[in-house]
Amino acid sequence: MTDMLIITLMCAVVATLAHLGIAVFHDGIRPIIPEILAERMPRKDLGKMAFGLSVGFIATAGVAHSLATGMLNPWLLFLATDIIGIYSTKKWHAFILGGAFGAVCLVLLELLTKAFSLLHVDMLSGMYTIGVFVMVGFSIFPLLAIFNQFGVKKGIFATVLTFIVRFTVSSFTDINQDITQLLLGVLMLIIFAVIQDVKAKTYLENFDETFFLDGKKRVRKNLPLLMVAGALIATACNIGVFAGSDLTSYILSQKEILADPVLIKGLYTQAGITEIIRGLSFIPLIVLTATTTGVYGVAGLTFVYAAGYFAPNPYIAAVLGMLVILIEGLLLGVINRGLNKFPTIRAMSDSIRSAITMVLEYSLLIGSVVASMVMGGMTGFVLVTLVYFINEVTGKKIMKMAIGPVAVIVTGIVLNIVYYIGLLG
Amino acid sequence: MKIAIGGMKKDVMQNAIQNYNNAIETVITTDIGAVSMLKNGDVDYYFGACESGAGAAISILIGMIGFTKCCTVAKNGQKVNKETVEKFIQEGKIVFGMAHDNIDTTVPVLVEALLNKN
Repeated sequence: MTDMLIITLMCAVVATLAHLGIAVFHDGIRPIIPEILAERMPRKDLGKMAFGLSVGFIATAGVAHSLATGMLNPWLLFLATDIIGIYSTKKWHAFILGGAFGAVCLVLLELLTKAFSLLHVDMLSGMYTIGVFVMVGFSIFPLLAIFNQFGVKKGIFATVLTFIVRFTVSSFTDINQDITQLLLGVLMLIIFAVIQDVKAKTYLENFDETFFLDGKKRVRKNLPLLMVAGALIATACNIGVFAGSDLTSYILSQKEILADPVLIKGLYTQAGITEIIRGLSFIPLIVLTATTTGVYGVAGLTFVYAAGYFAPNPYIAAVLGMLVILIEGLLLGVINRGLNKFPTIRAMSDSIRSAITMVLEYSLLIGSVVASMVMGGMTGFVLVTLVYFINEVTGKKIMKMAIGPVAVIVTGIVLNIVYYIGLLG
Repeated sequence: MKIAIGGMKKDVMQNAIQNYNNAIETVITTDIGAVSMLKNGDVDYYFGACESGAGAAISILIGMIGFTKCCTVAKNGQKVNKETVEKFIQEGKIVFGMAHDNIDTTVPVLVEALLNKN
């Protein structure tokens, strides 16, 4: 019941934010919102555009990640609330329709995961193995980003150092080696970027900031409502029904098969760390679009997700969520100035996003193959491979990020149908 | 012809452009880096990739160069369409976003159309 209340309210408020042009989730819609606010573009046109941009995302990544993990995610909910909010002609339309959408998604997800768990071939335990691959695969991404941005020499140096530390940690301590590897990699990435900028003396250059003032002011004026959304988002993360990204969806999906509360707590910590690192890669984009257009991201700079995961209970999560949005909002100008002085840090966000996407696509695919084999042995392998290649040869309608989980779901359903027909023992 | 590259998978984008025609000059930068390059006329076009082809790839350029100069040539799960690309170029678009899944199939069509225009 709490789940239902929080998700409904969260989607209602977020859809209202989109309606009022205060914040949207889709980065590409943000700069166009001023067109409807100034009535240079009819709402319907932007609504149509938002729908066209997002419908494929919602239907593949949004739905597949939710079904495979049992967690709601922003692509499913917030891309939809963007569309609902923009189309709605009245504030309360956005509020009610947004809330209703969230509630329907939650009910359907709970029904479907319940159904999956009752089937003969247990689809859920298969799918949860994907999470392990995602979690471990993610810890490699900083090395990939270093190779990509700073060349082979630094890449090899970072890799060797990472492995020395990894093996030292695993031999002499109980510290989680994947998290160590992840944090070390991110640290090296940041250090390399700062060194490059300090050498180039970019921080001495001056930038005209007047261009960004109006946007910053508008975001600040809207902070109270954004903080309400922040509180609800952090609470939704804390109670374990909502994940801030595909990464954390898969990490947290493992909570269903772990019985030990200490291990579950560990998953939440790892999810929090993951969201902070992922957040780093979105700061430049969100800050710049927000300060130039005055339209913010629905989850601010996305650190509310981490606040939700780190908080010990929903009440503290709500308070932290509000505070995080407030602090982020007040720091927008400072962050923007800092990024202008350190352009390599800005460029780093692109290589982080590329690297995360690459390791995630890989981990999801390999994890999905293993998950299918857990469910159906070599028959599972045949099915998952078949689905993958059918998508490849028919024009890749389903994006790389979603094809693995989609293939697992299809495999699970087919295996169960075959069983109930009586062909499978 | 000189093209600025921003967004995700910049090396993949650069390779795709140069594999098609290695006479084309490319420069790897960021979205905001490309804004001043386009304004100063240092580059002619901007190519950027992201998940959807319309978000992180081009949103800052929409805000700072103008919506009328920007377009998405291939959304995710969508195959690039030659006629649409030609129409965009005729309309004077100079900023092109695409989904990173589709870089390899999109770039040849886009570059060919841009070369034909010149």
